Amino acid sequence: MLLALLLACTGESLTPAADALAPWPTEPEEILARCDQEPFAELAITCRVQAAAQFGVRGQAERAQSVCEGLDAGTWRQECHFRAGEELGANGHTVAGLRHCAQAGRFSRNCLTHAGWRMPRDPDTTPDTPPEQVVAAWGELAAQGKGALAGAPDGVDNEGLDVLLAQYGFNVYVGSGKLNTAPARADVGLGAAADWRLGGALRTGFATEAARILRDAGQPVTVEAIVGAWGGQPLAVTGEAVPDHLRLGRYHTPIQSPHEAGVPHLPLYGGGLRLAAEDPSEDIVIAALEALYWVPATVADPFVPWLDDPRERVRRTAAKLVRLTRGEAVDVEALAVRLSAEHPDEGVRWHMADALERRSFEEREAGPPPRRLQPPPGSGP
Amino acid sequence: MLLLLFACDAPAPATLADCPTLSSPTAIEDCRYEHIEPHLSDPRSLQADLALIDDETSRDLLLLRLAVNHPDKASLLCRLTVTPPAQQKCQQVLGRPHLSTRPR
Repeated sequence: MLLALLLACTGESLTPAADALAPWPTEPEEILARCDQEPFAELAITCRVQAAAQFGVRGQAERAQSVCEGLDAGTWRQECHFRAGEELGANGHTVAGLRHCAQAGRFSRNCLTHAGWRMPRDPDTTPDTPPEQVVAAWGELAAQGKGALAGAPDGVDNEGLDVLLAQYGFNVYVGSGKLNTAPARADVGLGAAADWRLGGALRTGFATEAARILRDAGQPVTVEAIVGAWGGQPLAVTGEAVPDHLRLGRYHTPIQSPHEAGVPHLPLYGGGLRLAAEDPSEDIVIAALEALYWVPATVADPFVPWLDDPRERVRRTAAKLVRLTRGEAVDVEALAVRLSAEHPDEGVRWHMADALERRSFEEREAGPPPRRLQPPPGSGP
Repeated sequence: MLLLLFACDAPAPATLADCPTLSSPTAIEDCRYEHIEPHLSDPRSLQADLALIDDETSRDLLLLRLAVNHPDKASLLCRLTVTPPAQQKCQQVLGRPHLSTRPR
């Protein structure tokens, strides 16, 4: 009785363990009020991280900033910026999210992935938008992204811009149901002013959308159909728009052969890299091959004919994708054994030898389910 | 009266089993934490210590605090929690595997 009275006077809880384990409120200001009452230091920290994440969900980047700045430097302050950054990104505040990612220390790269790849589509930039507007919108986004990433750990700024570029190209096309090539040709004929990287990212988006339309309509997804659509030959089916969260596909991690040093690469949606060609008519073939891979059901077989293409970058793209897929009629292991010894292109030989060493084609034998690339906003942990 | 109460308070408990002799519920939780944390790297000893705490909420709080302070051990610690609220809060560490990576 005396103790209860005393505790009542000091404001201390009689049940601190139960109080500490109770669920947090939903509203971030209420969470913060709760954090201030939290007697256990480490739980006061995780409480503030939760508040910062919820400010991120609501697009309140500055409030999240002040919460994270209130934590001691170290793992949990970095996590605080990571949580705020990814929630801001998932809720359409990509640049503000990147600003937090730049402060997430050793988690910055993870944060970029979560914030950047969740950038939602902008209804003002679609395949039907005048190309100059698509180019200008990218210029603005890139400048904002660069500003947001200033001060990020080494290399994170460039990586962040790569993520933005790939996502931008993806967003203009994928899910739109439209295949107007004009934006993806925006870099053609501009001479020295051309931003071939933007053009390439948009061609990746174009090819991926063509593949998506064919896949969703149950049609065969082929490089020829995609390149044909680029050339003005309509697909066999009409495209239909789908919401962001249905733009599902397969992606891969970056694989760069030592023989590709100095060859231009472009970031891909999901974090991989693809070879790029200055000539758009070659670049679209590379983009189409990558788009085939994006369709999870694609096996190694359709890539095989491209291993003997006269264009080096096309051959090497096909080699990279063969090594990442299981064969149907093709025995990928036998093919890799043969080509690693006999193929005239050292780049193809390298991919095949590396595939044999890493057994990369086997990892996909079981046919993994398509990975969900864009969780619905707010679904993060 | 307050001074009297503080003056009569027992010295810092020497063992985990003595923690409940403290007058403040929060101090009891802190005492348990301080006695158990040094045994974190010895799972058998940790389990034995936990068995001395009857209250599952107190036990789970302890495990959660340890998981937050030692994310690299969160998988083991969170697995030992039994109450749904603790298990849910554990996700803030468990669901974030990057937290257990060491700073370079």
